[in-house]
Amino acid sequence: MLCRDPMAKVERLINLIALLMETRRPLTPEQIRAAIYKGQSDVAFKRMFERDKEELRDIGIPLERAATDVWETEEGYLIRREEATLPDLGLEPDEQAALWLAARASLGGDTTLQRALLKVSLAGGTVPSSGSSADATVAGAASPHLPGLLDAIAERRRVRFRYRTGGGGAPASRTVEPHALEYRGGWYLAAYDTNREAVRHFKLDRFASEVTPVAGKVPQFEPPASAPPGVPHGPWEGAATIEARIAFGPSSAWWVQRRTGARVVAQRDDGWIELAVPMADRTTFLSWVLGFADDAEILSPDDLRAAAIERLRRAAGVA
Amino acid sequence: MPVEPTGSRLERILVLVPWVVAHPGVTVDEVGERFGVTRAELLADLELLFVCGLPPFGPGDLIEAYVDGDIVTIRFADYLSRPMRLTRREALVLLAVGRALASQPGLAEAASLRSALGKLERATTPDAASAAKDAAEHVAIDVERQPGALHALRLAISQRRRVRMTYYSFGRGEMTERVVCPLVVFTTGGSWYMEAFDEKSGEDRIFRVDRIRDLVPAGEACEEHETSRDRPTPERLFTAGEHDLEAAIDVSPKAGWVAERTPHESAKKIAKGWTRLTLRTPNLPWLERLLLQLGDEGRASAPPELAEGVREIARKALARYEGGARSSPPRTRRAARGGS
Repeated sequence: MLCRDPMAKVERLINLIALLMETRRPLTPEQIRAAIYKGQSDVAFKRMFERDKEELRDIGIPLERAATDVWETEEGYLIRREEATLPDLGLEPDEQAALWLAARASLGGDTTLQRALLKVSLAGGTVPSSGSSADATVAGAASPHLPGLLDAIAERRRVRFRYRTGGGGAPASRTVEPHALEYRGGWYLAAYDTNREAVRHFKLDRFASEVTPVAGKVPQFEPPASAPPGVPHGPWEGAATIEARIAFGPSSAWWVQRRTGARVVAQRDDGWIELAVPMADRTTFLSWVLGFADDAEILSPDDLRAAAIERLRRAAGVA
Repeated sequence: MPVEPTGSRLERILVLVPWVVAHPGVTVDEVGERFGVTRAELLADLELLFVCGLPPFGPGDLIEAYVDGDIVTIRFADYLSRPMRLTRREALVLLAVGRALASQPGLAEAASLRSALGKLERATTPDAASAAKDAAEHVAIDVERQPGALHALRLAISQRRRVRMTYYSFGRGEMTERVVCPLVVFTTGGSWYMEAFDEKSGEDRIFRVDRIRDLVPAGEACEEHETSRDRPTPERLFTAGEHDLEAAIDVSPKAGWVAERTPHESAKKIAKGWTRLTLRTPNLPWLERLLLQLGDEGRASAPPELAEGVREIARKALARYEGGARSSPPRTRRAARGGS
């Protein structure tokens, strides 16, 4: 016998899969023990077998329990090939291409996904060559945290991770109730932060650790009463309190209007357009407008206009 | 080296076996690349398989797994020759994110993607499929609403025809009229982009679709050399052109987002937690505007004209504020009342 004793775990699991897939009739625990768990005590065998069953179920290979004979006096286990393996998917070329595109688009090189795609390619024919369509989608930010977070969202399980804020500083530990994932130029998690007692957005790129599921029964929290607010597109979105009035030059006004949905207040004879733009975060908003340089002018509120002038003076080197 | 968890190694082996069986003659490097493993890891996997099989584990009962002249061979593993069903996590990622993507407006492949996901869902265990369905309701992929120009651009691409457009260049703050030969449209970072051969500059350029104000067919067909490319767009996208300038800016710890959003060649920590970003760019105006936006959180480092450029645009903007150009409502026409 070539297999080491006790067998290494991965080896033992592969042998268990092989044994239970090859058998036509369910095998009793004793038969399984004699084949794979030789030399183990009753207690050790029971514990190991339970754990192994669980491990296989976790990776999608369920062991089926069935009577070993027609009198149903004894129960045994087997793995039905048609249950455990992926049937031929019969994917058309356009469907395969779309699937690959989708994978590349939002997931990039995540290993869970790579493996899933390999399985699909084995069950569906050939791996399509990319670039068959007029559209090309560039890989977005691949995040290794997606599978774990999706699982936690589906189960309504709390998770813990370390997080860096955008402003720098050391990463801090967060425990959250994950509500939703949003892709907006990168992946964000909307979650209820249990320490801060508020719903926050967390950028997956800024996670400084693995995502650890909080142990215990699920569900661990009630679903949120309303959909979490989306990640703001810009400083004009969010809990806006006031409207700023800004004049934009003819080349940019149409774009700002289309992008922000701002209301046109007035059209000037010189082609400039005055827009009423909702302002959420004051500092970011001011910076955003200053980014238009001499193509925008803040008209009101007065203190925002004054702040803009102050910042431009410093930048221009005028004391 | 951290120890790989049992689960992920087992999952890899369970895909590796059918893949090697389906690709006879495959080399060690090819397998390694496909599965993201080193040569040593792959050899360890094969060694492990070599001692697996069926009881009584005699020579004829074992899997044959070996490397001969760099060719990987796995035999007598019939029971492992088909891929296993998708695991719960694999299904979650593929189905939930795929669904979110399929419901995104403007994706040409949406219908094909939906039918592919349907087939996949039917082949997934009910537990995993229902978890994926639950999760899918909480996944949103937000690429900007389909800009109006997208349809016309796709049509032009498929017919290889030129278009005339009015384009807003944010960096320069100006509108330009251009005739281009669109090559491809794509999304990245949540926005739609077009790569096109630009007649004016005689080069390929990237344009943001939302900044195209007006678009009309130019009527002429593109010339062969304008539409044939040897490299795919994604690779070309953020590679520096040969005429690009080298520039450097310093950003404060508060402006960490700049490094996340701006493609750069290098990022170096300098004093007080600041970072120096070195980048290559065809022009400086967009960087000047970025620095004006950053205020005290950013500084021009190189070339010297960059700092001067920032002062210059700040002076121009200041002149607008201080030159008494501020409008008062009586001098303007009220759009809300429809006056024109």
